[in-house]
Amino acid sequence: MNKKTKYLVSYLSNLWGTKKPVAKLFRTNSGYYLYDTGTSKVLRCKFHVYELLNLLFSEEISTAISSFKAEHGEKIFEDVSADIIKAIDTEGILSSMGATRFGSGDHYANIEELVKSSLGMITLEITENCNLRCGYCIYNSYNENAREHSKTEMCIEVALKGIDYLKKNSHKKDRVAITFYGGEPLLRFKFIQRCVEYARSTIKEKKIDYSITTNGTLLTPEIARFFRKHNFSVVVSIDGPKEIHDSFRKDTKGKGSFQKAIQGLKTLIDIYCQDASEKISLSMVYTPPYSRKRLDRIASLWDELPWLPADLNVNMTYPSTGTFPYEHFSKDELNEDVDMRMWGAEKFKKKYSGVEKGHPISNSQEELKLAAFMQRKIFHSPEDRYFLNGCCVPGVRKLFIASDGTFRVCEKISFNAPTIGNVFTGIDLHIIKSIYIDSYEKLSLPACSRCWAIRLCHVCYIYAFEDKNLSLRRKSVGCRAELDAKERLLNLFSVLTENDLSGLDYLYSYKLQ
Amino acid sequence: MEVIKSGLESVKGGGCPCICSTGWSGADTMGLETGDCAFNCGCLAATTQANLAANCAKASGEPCPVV
Repeated sequence: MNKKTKYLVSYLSNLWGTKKPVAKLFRTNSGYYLYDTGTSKVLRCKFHVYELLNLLFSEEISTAISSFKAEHGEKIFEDVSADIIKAIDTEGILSSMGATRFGSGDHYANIEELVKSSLGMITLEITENCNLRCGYCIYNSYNENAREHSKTEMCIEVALKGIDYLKKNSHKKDRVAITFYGGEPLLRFKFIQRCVEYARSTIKEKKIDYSITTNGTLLTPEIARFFRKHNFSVVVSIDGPKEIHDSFRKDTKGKGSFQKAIQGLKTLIDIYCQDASEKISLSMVYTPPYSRKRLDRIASLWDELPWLPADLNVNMTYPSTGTFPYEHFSKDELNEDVDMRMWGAEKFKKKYSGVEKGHPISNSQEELKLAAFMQRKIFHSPEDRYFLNGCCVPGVRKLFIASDGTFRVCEKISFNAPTIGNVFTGIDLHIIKSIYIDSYEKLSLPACSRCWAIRLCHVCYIYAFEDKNLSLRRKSVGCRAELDAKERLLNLFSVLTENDLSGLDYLYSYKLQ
Repeated sequence: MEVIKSGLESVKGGGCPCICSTGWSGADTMGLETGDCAFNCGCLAATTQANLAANCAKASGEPCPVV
């Protein structure tokens, strides 16, 4: 073993011990890259650096070096070795051997104060009833983790108590938010009016942001004017052109809802005028038979409806896990020639390179992901502080109040997950601390500690429960999807920067919701 | 190896640069929002240290302890 080899072996052995650093090597068609988990930096590498790192990550250090030298020769090894050492010394990379803890302990010491002072938003489930029976609705009989549709409605006392709770526990916030959710919340428009009236008269000292998620079919000019007057943000569920929308979004008699939903959306957009793009957004669910053709057809909604703003915010998703009768489709119909996210990334790449003008669907989806990536925290040296994946702080940023007044972490979490209090007795800090923080950390850390994507992770409580309990098996489903998504994101980011290194800088000022 | 410009650099080499004592740093990871921080300083959207300081002071009512 010559001097330079000995030096690298000694240097890396001291740094890594018997472990390997947590990092991700990846490549595009024209570049080689390293994402370093400890610092969260992305580095472009030369081919030979990539090759040596690849060997070092998978083999014992001296064996990896021997293999590399046998393949590429001594001179290249010396150059590559110097390059790697320099990057470690100057950028602090390749020095994290994994997380030893999540951000609990001291970080959670203030949760009691936060819960009592910094609540940002309540979501009121004002009815469990809906005038539609969409084929993928989370509230259907296929989904064991959710309630079914029912006639149950929130009584006004519960709603007003919820608003009182928001007021009482948000004194450190200068603005708060109230969201109306269902079922279909517009089945109870007068109830919404009553809540808004009460909130305005009760929470006088703060700005209140209102929002609602609706299927749009019950929207009238009167309702749209009310929303406009109170500056509501409105999410309307539209899946695409008529034949696509109507294939799953049907009323209780099985009739498609497209016509009514689009009429409602048009009314809303007309009344919001120039504020439409900012305050109105579409929620689209991409359903089988999956194909590029179907995605292009969905995108053609904007061609069919010229009044639809080109810069409308769109969130397109697959049906939620466990809610969809996939067995009703053939294998061919479920096989994808292009994944929805890949389709969006392709469109965005074309826009970025000036080939196409872009599309609201891909712009919304890709810009949001890339902006979050551009605005992530990076470090000079590895920092052994990691948050609970993408979990919110239960009862602080938002609180879901079910129709019977119970508190839940959010509207998307399993219906069987433990509740965290109710409007009558208040928040249950014990449950939050013991289940949502301590048990979640205990469950997750072994799997997450050496995961390269730990700093980028969006997995949260939504993916963590199976029946009433935290479940690693259930969470691992979300983990796999998340790892795949983050690998694609790194790839997209790198390809775009190959095209224009500073072209994504505008995303530093993108407002993340 | 060349770092590709992206990300917001942590002022203190780790942790929320606005005020670590709260422990809740929206800035520490994507996926959390500024609302998760007790001071709601807007650090996720802040692109410079000056912005951070201004936002923190505004939100907490105290001078930024870092910048």
